[in-house]
Amino acid sequence: MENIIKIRNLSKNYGTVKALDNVTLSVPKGSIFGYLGPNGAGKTTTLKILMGLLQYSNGSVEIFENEVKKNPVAVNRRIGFLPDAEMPRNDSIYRFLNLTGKLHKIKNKEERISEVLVQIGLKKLSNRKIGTLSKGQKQRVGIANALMVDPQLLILDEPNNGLDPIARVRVLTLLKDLVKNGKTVLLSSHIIGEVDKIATDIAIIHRGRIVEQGKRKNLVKRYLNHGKYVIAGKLDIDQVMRSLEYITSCQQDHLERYIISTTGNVTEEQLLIDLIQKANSKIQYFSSAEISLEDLFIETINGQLKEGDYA
Amino acid sequence: MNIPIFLAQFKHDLWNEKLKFLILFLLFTFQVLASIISIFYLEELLTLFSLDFINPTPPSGAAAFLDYFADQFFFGILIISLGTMNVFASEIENGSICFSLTRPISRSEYTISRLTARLIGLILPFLLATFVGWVYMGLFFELFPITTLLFAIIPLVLLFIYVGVVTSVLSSRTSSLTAGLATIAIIIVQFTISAFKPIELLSPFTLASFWSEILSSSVSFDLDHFLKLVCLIVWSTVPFILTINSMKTRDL
Repeated sequence: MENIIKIRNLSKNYGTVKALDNVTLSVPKGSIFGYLGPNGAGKTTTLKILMGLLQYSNGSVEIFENEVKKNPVAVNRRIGFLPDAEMPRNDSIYRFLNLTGKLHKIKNKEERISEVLVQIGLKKLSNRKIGTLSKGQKQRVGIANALMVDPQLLILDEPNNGLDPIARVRVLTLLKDLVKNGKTVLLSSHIIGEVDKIATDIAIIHRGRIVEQGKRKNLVKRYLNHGKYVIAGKLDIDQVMRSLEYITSCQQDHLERYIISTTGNVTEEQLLIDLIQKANSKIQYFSSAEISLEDLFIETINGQLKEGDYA
Repeated sequence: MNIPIFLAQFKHDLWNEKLKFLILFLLFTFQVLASIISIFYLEELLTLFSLDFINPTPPSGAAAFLDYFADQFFFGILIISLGTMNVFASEIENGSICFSLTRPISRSEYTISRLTARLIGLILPFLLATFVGWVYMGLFFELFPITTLLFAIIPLVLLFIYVGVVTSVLSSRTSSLTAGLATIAIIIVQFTISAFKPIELLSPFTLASFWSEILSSSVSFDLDHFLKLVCLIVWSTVPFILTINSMKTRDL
């Protein structure tokens, strides 16, 4: 499949800090590409480099077969971008989108503004100053701005930040529709659940390095020999963890149920129940759970954590 | 440079300066009118407050404008410095520049547009207010020729541009506050230099006395003044180029 973005051996340093370390990444045409990573992993840095906002020390970055460094303006012309940044406070929504329309030389500018504002549910507020809008409304203006160009490629940095559930669903549906129409979407997020709903391709970045990359279904398949179970009851967690070494993690959810992840082949659930009960525990409820992208993410990142992370 | 793109951005930026423009126009107009009125009534005021032992300069339009321009030498420069200290810094600090620079506009076009719009927003109110003052002066004094006013205003406007671009180059690299404070520090150093005859051309402030000479009609536009004007233009151009270059290469 044709790749719309090709990043090869990309490195970026902030002083002595390595923000990106030899990143190689390809975004296939017509995909919804989820770019995941914990805070400070290098997601925004990568996206800013793609948009020509940051210089890079090594590597090459191509979008639509054009090297970004050589002609960022030509590349920007075909991309809709939503940065994870504050918006200009003094512009009205209309003026803000109007300038985007003018600079992109959009022919039916007025119609297009009206169209994107309807899509994003802000038509009635078009004359309001951006500074007076709520965080979620501002985010929607940002998305409307990215959509203005009817872009071949949409790059969104944390698009669901501040959005209410209705707006969130609306945006996700909108992105799915765009991809159906042949567009490509690259979205970065640390809210994995949202990405899980729509992404076709995934890359996980941690400490500036790509640690997983590929088709979502292939990546999750790789983890299918892992198990995930929901258990309610009285569990002696320390003993369970000590005695059953194939349990990789055990966490309690808000209903005080235990979510247990196992590695290797735990083919028989009854065997697991028996083993847990032997470890000084009493099970009242047991069921297996579907492995999500979030599990894959946590598993991947946990494997990479070093002492002092999240300290 | 892509002219239609530049003009679209410039129009947008200029419109954003409208509030600043209005406030500064009112402020400068108040200052110029106050100077004219105070010079006209100065003798009476001194008598009223029993200060008639002070021998004031004879009231005239030129004296009023000298007073006004002398005020601007401090007040105007401060306004320009304050007005340009956030020209790039605040947008870079809050990240909203990411929206501007991911539109299809080059960094140079964007930088020139923003800086020019900001300088116009700060300097045009001064020019208009000065013109209003010149017209108003006719009610009190004999009008001196408009060409005299134009000649006198050139060094001050160039000085404003110089201060504006110095602040902007700093604004493209540091925070708003640092840019403002650093500009004031630079002004103080250069103002001090201008007091020393052998190295005065190293300072753009040597023209400070220029308008007083013009307004008191004692000036002949000699080579020395011409040289000083050229120096001031060079002084303004260098930081202008530095600003464009700084914005071109910096990480945002």
